Amino acid sequence: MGEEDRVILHGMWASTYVKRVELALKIKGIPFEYVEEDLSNKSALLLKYNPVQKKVPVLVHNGKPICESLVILEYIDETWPSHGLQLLPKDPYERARVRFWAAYIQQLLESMAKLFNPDHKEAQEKALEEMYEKQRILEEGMREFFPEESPNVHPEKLGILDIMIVSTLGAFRAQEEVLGVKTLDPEKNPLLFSWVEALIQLPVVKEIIPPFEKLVSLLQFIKQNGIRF
Amino acid sequence: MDNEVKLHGFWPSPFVYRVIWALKLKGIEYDYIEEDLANKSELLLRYNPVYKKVPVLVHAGKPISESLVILEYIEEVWPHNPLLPKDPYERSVARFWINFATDKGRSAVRSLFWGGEDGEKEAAEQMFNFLKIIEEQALGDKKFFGGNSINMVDLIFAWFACWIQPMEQLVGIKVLEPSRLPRLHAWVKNFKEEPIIKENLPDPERLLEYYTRMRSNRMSKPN
Repeated sequence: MGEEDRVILHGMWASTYVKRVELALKIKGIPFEYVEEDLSNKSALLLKYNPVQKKVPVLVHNGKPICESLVILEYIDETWPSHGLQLLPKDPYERARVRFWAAYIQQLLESMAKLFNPDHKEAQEKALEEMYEKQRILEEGMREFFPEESPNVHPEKLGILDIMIVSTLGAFRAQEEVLGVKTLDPEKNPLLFSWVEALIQLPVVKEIIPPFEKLVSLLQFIKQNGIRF
Repeated sequence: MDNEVKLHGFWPSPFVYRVIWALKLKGIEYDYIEEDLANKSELLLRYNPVYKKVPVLVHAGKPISESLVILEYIEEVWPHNPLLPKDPYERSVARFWINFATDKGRSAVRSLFWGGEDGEKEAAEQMFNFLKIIEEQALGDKKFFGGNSINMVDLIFAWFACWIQPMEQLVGIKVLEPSRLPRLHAWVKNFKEEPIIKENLPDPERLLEYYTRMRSNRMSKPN
């Protein structure tokens, strides 16, 4: 790995999944080119690199495409092991715990996405309950990880769970603006709330967070038109 | 005693079988505990409070849940007889297919099993389209998904080797037709003939009976 390394990320500015990869690359200090895709008019290159899912993110490393955000994160950690910090712990049991909770946070994201489907009111309330329940379980689970009150958030110690948490919950204010309900309640989830607040202050995270107004507009559009993203 | 391996499972579960195969392929000794999912043990609820499901692998007293997480753990702790390629790029391709099977496969299976009167034909077509992608792009001309020998991707797709058949019988639609999916059909045969796999397969009659009961139970319940 040296001068000949060429890394290109095909993404979309508001995609949670793309943010995960952007963050991972920045945390590890891996230089990359970014290609913004218009998802309503996908590039021939994207369709060539991801013919099965036709989705972003796609990471292209020296011409070879890798798809699926969590698969990409594992690839990045394995390919650039000495670059900055490790995204996954060394110990196999700790790695298993991180992978378990990363998958759970993904499920939380899927619950949250349901809130933006313009269905009837009951479906909205059901989706909200489901999301709160998942957050409650996540809050409890994360308390095991962090024996102190709140996670110690250091730019040098960021890992996959930090990436998953901030990409999934980091835009909560924009979501609340559009939905008119709390999507991250500091009283119900003090640990998650303080963790997210600490993460979104970090310079590396600030670089990738989409502009508030732009995101609010998009979320409103999605809610009105029921686009699945 | 310190390094004891235990597996909590349930006999019809393809997710449990994945772990059984991985352990046996690597020659890892373990104790198997059959769980009655209608009456879950205290231990299971303590080991997997989030999902309360099987499989749960317990290694030296520490529990690991979720079959994919368990498989990656097994691979890392016992790296001999590898189930994933060594090259990071090849690994990412394997993981992509594992992810695809988990994501799209699961919804295709659910539609097929629970699809109503009109839904059945459409569910079968959805399943067929999914399998066509698998055959053309994941399997290709290889004997196994792992190449000349089976690997983790084969273990994940094993659902289509043994569990789809009773479902096809129940629903009355054959999806894995040899004429429509010749290479996948050949893979099913090859997979089931592999030494360790052959000795560790669920009984098809028993599976059919179980699925029949499950389906009639759910359908007789009021909405």
